[in-house]
Amino acid sequence: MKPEQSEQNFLLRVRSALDESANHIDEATSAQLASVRQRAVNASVASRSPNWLAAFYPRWRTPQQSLAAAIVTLVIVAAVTLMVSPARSPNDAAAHLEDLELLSSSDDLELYQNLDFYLWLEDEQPQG
Amino acid sequence: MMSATGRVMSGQSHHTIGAAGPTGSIGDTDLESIQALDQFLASVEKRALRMAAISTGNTEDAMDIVQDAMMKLASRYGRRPQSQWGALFHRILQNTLMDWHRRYQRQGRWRRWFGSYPHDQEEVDCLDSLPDPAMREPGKDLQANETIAVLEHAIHQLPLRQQQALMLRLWEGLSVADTAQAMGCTQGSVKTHYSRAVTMLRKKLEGYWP
Repeated sequence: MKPEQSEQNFLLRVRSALDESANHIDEATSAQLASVRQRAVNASVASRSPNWLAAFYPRWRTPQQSLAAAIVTLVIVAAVTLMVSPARSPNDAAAHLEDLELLSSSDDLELYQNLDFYLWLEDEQPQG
Repeated sequence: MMSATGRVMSGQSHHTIGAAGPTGSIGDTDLESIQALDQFLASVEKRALRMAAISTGNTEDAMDIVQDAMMKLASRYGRRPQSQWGALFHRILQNTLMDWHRRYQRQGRWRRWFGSYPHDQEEVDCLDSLPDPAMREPGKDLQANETIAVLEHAIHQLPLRQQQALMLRLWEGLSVADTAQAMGCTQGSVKTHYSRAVTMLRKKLEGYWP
């Protein structure tokens, strides 16, 4: 038998054994998986609250664009607040800027860490 | 219905899906999407659990990891196009596995420092419980459950990146490009890890899989 054929046969055996392993999970574990899945689905239902940003920026729906829109909005609000508010001490201004930084920092740091992955996902989206 | 990985989705899903979110009723489109999400998760959950169990060496941690991955996909990315769920889920799962391994290594260092390392004491090399392949009667093959146990242990012993490349390419059937995205590395790295994994696995199973 050719080495390549031998390797292919080996890999088929591996895959087949793994399939069997997954197909013979015991009932208790299957039930636990179903319960985990139910919680995840419920979390998805709960997360489907209206995207208020889409009301102002209807074309900005990707995570990157929504985040950028949120940051721009915050900067504008902060700038307007600073302009119309009475004279503040340097400490107050510094505190405001610190608050702004905290507010604008994404609670989804994972977005930045996986930005290249999301850009790839957008490219992979089917055309038409 | 084909998943993003190309595998046929055949999971059983008979849950009651909540019809009301925190802001009231959800639309038909959302309901369809949620049902599709439920079916997708049903189609990947068993393989994901086995993958995580082989990687971590214990089912309890594996279940936590799978739960984490499902929750993240569902709550953060459930509204993404369905065609992206496969890639997203695999990426999240692999990231969660890597986080587990990093924590495990850190805890291992602390425990070794203080002289206590429970995982070492709990791990049993399943190969020890099998007859020596050299002493096995000619023609007597391993029983099916022994075959799986031997294989899973051999995969578990592979370096993490080789495990990931092997499972995603061979078992999930992902392309090199999709595997690279799931693993967060280059396509060249995927090919290298996969090739090494196959070579090492064949060597480990030499005496057990004729």
